[in-house]
Amino acid sequence: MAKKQTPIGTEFMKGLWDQNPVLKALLGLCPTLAVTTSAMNGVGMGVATTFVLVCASLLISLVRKAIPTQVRIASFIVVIATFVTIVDLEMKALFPAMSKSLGAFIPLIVVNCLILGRQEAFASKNNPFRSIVDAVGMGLGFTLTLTVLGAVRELLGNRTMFGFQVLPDAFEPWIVMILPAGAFLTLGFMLGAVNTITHRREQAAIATRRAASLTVKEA
Amino acid sequence: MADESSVVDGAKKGVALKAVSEGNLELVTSPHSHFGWTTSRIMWTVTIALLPSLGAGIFYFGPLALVPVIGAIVGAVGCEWVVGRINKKADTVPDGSAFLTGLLLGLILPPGFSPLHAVLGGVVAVGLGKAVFGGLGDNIFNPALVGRAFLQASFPAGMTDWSTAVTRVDAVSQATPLGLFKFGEPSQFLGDITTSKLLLGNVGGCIGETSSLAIIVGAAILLVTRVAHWRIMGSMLLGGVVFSGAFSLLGVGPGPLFDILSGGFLFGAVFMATDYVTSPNTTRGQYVFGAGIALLTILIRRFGGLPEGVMYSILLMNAAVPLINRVTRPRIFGATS
Amino acid sequence: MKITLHMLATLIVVGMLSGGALSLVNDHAAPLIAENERKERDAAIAFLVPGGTPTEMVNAEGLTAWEVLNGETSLGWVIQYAGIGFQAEIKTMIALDSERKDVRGVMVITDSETPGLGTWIRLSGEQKEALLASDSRDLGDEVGIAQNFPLQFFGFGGGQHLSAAGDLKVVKGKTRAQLGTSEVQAITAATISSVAVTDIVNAAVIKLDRLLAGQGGV
Repeated sequence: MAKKQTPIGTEFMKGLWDQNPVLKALLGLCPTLAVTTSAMNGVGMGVATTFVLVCASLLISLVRKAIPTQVRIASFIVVIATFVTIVDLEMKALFPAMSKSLGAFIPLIVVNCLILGRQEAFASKNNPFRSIVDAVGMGLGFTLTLTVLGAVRELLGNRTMFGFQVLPDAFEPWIVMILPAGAFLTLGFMLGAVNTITHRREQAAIATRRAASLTVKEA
Repeated sequence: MADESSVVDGAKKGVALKAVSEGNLELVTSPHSHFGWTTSRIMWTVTIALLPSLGAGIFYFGPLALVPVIGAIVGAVGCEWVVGRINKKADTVPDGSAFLTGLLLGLILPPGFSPLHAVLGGVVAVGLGKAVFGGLGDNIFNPALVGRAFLQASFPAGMTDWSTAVTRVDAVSQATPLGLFKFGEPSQFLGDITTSKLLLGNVGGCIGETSSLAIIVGAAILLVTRVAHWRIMGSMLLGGVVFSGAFSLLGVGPGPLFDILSGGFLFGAVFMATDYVTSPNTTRGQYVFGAGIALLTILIRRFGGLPEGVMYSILLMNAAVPLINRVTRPRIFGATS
Repeated sequence: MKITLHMLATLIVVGMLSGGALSLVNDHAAPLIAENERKERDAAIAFLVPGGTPTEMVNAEGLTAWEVLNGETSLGWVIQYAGIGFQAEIKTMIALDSERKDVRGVMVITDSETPGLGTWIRLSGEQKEALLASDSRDLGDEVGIAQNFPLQFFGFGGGQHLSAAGDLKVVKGKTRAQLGTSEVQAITAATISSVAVTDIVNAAVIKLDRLLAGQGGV
């Protein structure tokens, strides 16, 4: 760890925007598209994934030096699968309604590439504290994205937001929004918006740099 | 494109690109023989060819059938205008392509469809069907059908309600012939639907597709003015006859005449499948394209959950166009194997 | 050799820890999960045939049936049975009268039907409340409205109920007066889901008759 470390705040914030797992890295799209028929489902899926991500990251980071590289993926998957099964069982026991609406997608968190990706790219190379910060940031970014996606689809496809009716009865719901096609359309628009903002920021940054270099030359 | 770049040397290419960027050089896609036809002239010719179908729709369903058509046109043209302002590009509304998209969409809606939803359909057709791909010429799917697919998925009840818009006493307010065939009583089906009714249009259905005769008049206009070629229409019709006939010989389905005259088969063949942008540009490819639509349509009608399948068949074959173009690319003269 | 041992040891330790943790969690969760399922089932039975104690009579071939008894008198029957819907399995609870002549109600427990179309087969919360207030609702001319599809199984008012002879069939576009006791009005644009529920009811009552006959009759 001779090289200078990234500030801990940056490590946390990167999951929210710069390396947002869904909007920038396009990881974990299967649950993203499948369960976000309502805002509440987005929150539920996000929290469940975050829990698994944080627990797995902490554990992997603690034992990272004891695991031989040849079997690291196998060990990671077993650890992840264990936490996913815990979430699945406890959710069925304590929140049966939520478990019913998320259905088969809780067990499928095991194969969410976001989680394995963070173990491979971060937790297996960093200390437990940094790993937890990274996992919470990533999990939060994932949860927020899924919630927004679910909220838009729920609003247009069902007139409601978090279960409360927002649009009047006169608005006939666009059923396509709660069908799989609606997930792709909404995610497409979100990606378009994110890319536009990123592009504008880059252009602005380039313009500032150019202006700065010009002033230097003139001086 | 790659072949050309090897011929053109770097300097020339630079000059050409400069000319393009300054707008001094007109760049058009093949075919390059130009005989005075502009986009807008083609679009308005197709619009005229659609008028008989629109007239038949109003005649059979009453003047209120115009409402969803106008709604779709307003949505499509409005979206085209707004997208033009956002992109800060030249106004593309006058070329008539958005108007035509709206009209086509309006004609494949049920006569009593909510005008507000028709506006939404028009916006989706131009916005999601065309603008997000980069505008006219860059779209993969037929915009009007994208709009209809969106409406079909959003308002399935409204899109399959054939009874609400009846304003004439003797106007048609029954299930579509295809719906009767799939879900109704066989006796009722055989008694009510005659070939002459299907031909004239005195049956339930979308505004523009009810009268086969009016569509045939439109097809004649397109063929005589050479706006559309007979290849796609012909192969789709022939495909319909062959596949529907084959199934009816095996004892499945009502036979070619009914299949071609009912639902959106003729309308799709004449006005939707022949769209330049979303159909193959090789001769053999166009035959494959038309026959493929016919096969998918008959398969959906016979074995699918839906009574009608022209819309999804055309959209699916639209998606296959790049592949068809690649496979059916003509052999370069003198090339081996 | 050393690396192989290290790898083996790691995997064994990870596997054992994982297994141990899961068995602990399962000990805690399994009874709760069973309890949740039982509660949901009991609530459905109590809603469909209120006021009695369910006694399990049949549990075979994927069908479970309870006779709801109040002391010695039978209040009715509830059958749990599943069948194939538009995309996946539809699990239902079907209520019959004590003689198994009429259908007294159908509740869809789980389904994966198309939102906004096939999902009208579910009973809404408002409908449940309305049904709790009275046994059935006279649908009148509203019989063709999609939302009212599940209410048909609870009877047409005036003591008229759908037949439990296994001969229900789905029809379209009829008025209340035209509907017979073996006819179910389809949900517009969701004929497949409507037929699926009706078929499940038919199959369930026929199968229950057969299973009870096999047990030596009732």
